[in-house]
Amino acid sequence: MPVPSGSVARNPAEASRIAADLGVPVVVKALVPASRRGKAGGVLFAEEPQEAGRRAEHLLGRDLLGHQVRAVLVEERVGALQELFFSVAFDGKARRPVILASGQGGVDVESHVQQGGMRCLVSSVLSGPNANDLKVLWHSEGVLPSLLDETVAVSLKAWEVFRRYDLLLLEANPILVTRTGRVIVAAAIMQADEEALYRQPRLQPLVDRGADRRLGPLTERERLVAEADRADPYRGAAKFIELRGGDTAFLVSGGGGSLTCYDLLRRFGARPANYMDLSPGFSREKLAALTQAALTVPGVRGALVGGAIKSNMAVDLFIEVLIEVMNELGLDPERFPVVARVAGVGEARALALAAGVPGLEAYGRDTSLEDACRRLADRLFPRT
Amino acid sequence: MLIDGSTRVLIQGITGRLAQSEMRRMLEYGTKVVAGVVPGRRGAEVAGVPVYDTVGEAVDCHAPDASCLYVPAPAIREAATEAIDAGIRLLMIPTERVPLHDICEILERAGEAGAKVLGPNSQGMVVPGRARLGGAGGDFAFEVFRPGPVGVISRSGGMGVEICHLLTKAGIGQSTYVSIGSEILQGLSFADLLVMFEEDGATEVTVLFGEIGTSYEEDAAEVITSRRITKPVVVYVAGQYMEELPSGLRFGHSGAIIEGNRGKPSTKMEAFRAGGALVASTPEEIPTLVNEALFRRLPRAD
Repeated sequence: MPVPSGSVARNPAEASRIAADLGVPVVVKALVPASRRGKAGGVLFAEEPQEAGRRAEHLLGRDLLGHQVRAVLVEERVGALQELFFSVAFDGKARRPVILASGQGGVDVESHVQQGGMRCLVSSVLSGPNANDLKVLWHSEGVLPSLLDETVAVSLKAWEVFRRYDLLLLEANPILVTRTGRVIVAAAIMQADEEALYRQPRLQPLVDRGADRRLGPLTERERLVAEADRADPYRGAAKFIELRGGDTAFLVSGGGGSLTCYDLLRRFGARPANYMDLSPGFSREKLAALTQAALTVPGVRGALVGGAIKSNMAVDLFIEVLIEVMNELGLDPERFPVVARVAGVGEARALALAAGVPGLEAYGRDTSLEDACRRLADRLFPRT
Repeated sequence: MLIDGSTRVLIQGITGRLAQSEMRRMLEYGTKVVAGVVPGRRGAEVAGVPVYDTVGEAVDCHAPDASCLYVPAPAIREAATEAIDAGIRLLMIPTERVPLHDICEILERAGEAGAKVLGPNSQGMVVPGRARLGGAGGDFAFEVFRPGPVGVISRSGGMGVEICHLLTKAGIGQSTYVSIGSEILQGLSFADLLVMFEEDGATEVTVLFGEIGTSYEEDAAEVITSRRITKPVVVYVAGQYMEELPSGLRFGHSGAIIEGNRGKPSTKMEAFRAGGALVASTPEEIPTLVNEALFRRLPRAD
């Protein structure tokens, strides 16, 4: 796609040099993987090279939108007749990619969206948007007739990038329409699909995996689980997110069961210190990594294990690994309350294993999730 | 609904570990599994079920109505396209971690062909006492499910089974249970199935298990509010306390995420309440609310 000329600087001197080489007024942009950089003060203008250096100095090392600025982009400042907004993302209701476009792009596009001022085009994922539909769309958004072909070409290019790189979102904003008849993409946001990274070698080194969450860099325990997960990508998916201020290790798997147990624990006054997920077919190593991580989050004083009735994963392994890891960590279930609700495949063995460990309370499918969560809360906060 | 005891089922990827254990469960439940497909394994048999190289061959010999695709994520687009092109009109996709572009392609092809898709990340479906696609209920299916008047739709496989078990323990049976998955893009949705349950003679009340994230619950609430359906709906939306956490966190399922103001359980529950659905505050409340709804529908004795 056509972009302004410029390059990346990692220190102020480099920024000045790039500005001097360009020989024109420049824009200095903080390189962080987040949208709304302009609004957050991450995009600054400079008339001459020294000023570009000062702008870079101001931005480098700063914390912006949850990321540390390690580099800036110094590029030519392009005067625009019009700023356009163009995005492609999937829509759950249409079950198709949907293009949003506006002739009033730029930093204030958000308010424009809320006022319903966006054009919407539902596309076929197989054949892509129709060039003529795009032409009509841009025409109605005020793009000059002489520049329509060029604008459509850039839009189709953006679509191609969306498809080729398996993106969840491609947002080009602003696309600048210049006095000299050029159409230039001045900024863009891409959101990668982690599940498609295996076939996207160019994106692999750029994406922080396991970070589909906006809490800054991974903690040590989160990294441990992410590594175990990556080591064996097709034997179940293990995910682990640490939560602040929790008191309960949350060893509950199964998306909906976990959400429900989280709600129930909170309802009864306990607070999970992590969130996790583990999908069927998982390896013992992944479960061990998750168990170890959950039990070692600072502030944890008890654990909930298991979840809703399992139809296609064995729950006895949860208890087996739990006992092993608790032994390794020197945790005594009589002083560190553990309640397991292990229902479904492997239930009988899970209950038998737990019966051999004093203080490890385990229940099967005839005890509801609600009763199990209430029991743990009662043990964590005994009424005096 | 969708399947019954006469539905002929194909299993793609029949030699895989999960496929074999789930096929055993389908057979135990009386489901007609007629053939399997694994490229290069033509002529083999798995538990007495013949294996073919292509879906086309299996269709020629056995005329299956539905296919369960036990196929790894990188191969699911090809496998689903093959099934759709061969004329199969119900696809159950249990696979997780499917690239979103591939899901979208599958759904577009299915839509053009008039085929229905369950999933991805579906645990299948059960018509109690008749048939099941997939292994929902594991080895306890006869204990967990029981025939009756309640349709159950769940974004979560585990909680769907849990809810059917709660209903059964309370003496309430199910007409059809469907696990729809919880992805950003999916085939049959709450809204689609609510309309199907409305037309299903065996169903009197529908239970939905919803979750944080996506707009599927809001779309379903819209179906109720607009009076496109008249049968009562009971819902539980999980993740109510997730709203206290920073937005942008993804909870297990790919669609389980609050982005900006979108996806909040409180908004979903409000939309359901406004439409007249009965909203449970815990799963254990569901059977009570279902009984209330069933009682209201009882014909008056004049």
